[in-house]
Amino acid sequence: MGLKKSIEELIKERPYVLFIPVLALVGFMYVYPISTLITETFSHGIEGIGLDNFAETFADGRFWDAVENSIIWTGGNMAVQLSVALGIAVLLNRKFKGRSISQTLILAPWIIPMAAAVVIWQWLLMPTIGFINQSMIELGIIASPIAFFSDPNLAMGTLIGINSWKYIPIGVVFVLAALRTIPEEVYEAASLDGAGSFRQFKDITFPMIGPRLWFVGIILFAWNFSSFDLIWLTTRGGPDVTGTTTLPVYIYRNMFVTFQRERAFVAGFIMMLVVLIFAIFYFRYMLGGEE
Amino acid sequence: MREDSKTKKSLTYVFVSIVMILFIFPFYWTLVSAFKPERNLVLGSITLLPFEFTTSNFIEIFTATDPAKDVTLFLRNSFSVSIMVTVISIAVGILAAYAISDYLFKGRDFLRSSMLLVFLFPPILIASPLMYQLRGVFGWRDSLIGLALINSATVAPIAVWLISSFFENVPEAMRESAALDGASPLKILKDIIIPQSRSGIFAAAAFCFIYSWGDYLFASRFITTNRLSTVPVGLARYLGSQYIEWGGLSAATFITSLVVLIVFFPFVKKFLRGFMAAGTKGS
Repeated sequence: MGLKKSIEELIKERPYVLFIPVLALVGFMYVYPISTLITETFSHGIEGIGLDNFAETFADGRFWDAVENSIIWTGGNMAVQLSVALGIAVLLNRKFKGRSISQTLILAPWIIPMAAAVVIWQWLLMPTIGFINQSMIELGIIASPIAFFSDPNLAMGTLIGINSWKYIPIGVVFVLAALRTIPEEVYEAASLDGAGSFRQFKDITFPMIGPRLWFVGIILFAWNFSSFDLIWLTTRGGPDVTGTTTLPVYIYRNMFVTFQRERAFVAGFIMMLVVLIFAIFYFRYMLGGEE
Repeated sequence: MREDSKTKKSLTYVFVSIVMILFIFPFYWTLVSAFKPERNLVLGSITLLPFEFTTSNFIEIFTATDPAKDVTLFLRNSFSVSIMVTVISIAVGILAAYAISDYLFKGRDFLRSSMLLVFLFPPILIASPLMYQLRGVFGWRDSLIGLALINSATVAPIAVWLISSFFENVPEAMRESAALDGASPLKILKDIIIPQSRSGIFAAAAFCFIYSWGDYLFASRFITTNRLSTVPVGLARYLGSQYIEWGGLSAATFITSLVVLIVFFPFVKKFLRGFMAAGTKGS
């Protein structure tokens, strides 16, 4: 009984000991990889701080393609997901039959594994026998099948579309949860004052869910910025080698396929810097309001 | 009240239907394809109902002798990993969450926020050195337990995040009266906090389960044999093969999705409340 007693005492005096298990788990899996990432990045060049890896990576045109694609990918996905999620959430927040079930069912794409979503969309978008191409041909909308994944002009848009299909739903339910915090009376009062739907949205809804929208944005940014599975399992970063190569795909390819590890580490280091900047904003948001 | 309310109402239904079709139809199409014979699919059958109904796709994937297509095995492996991840994450999650909800200590809010940040950290940045660490340093690969540990490191922090917000909802009075009765910290946790947060803990568990169920990156790098593949790895490999049997692949994909939908749907509302509550405290 002595041990149990002393554990109880320890918890009372130093409650943070309860964090040890989770921190041990995280530490074991994250500390070594992150320190390796940093040391390997600076491993070549003048002793102490080697910048040769940077020079080599920055001379690689594909690296800059990846940076550009990452910006397009993250920005495009964020724009689509936030705006469409907001629109759908406002729609599903209206009163209609089946509202509750719709608010739950819509989450289905987000719940399934990305690999499953990839199968589903590869099949729907197959060039010749896929549902979308076939029906458009039979309806006379197009004459020949569209190569959604291998047309250099379409691949990025196709993938942003599929990724948004998967992440809009979580955006919708997050925004819906935020909308639910606005009391019904506020709208009733606004209606009586003659404010139309758009005015109500602009002057009541948007300002009142603002802080929560930030939270949704933070989560979606992190997921979009680091997303890898979808791109890798559909285009492998192509067409034209780097058509849809974002930084995660660039890292993966250099690390596991072409074995140009230095490039992978440098690209990883750059991503890490973005994560650090992100973390500063993140903590500002999370801890700021509690002062 | 408003004369346009009737048209407005029907417009709502129209838009809701369009939205729901956009998000749900792909599942329906997968299901229909799974019940069509393969020879119809290769010809490009786009009928919304299978006019030649067959269950052979399902029978085939569950009786596959080719280890690269053994869906039963993939499902079993995914179940093992996801259940281990869930148990580990909930166990360590409850402890840390209890510190957050019941004690004031320096750095508490920082620690809590860090938990979500770890969960959001790009997995690709740790994937490769982590594989080196586990294989090179510990000689460890091709182990479902190992894969579960890797995933737990990502998932346990979000369990802390979720569970702490449920623990905070337990009425203060219950804690105080127990403390007055002389109950020790662990006894309060076991007899009051956990039983009062049961549905929240289940919601967190369901999320841990579906999240590790979906892992592709770690599973594909850490597991190298067919025998230990999880479902996402199996699906990806199937998708990359020379000749794809879309009927069988659709059936496998539908079952894979159905498992997580059944696990998670009952807890959607609860999960959202927990996830958002902790994230919008300051606002």
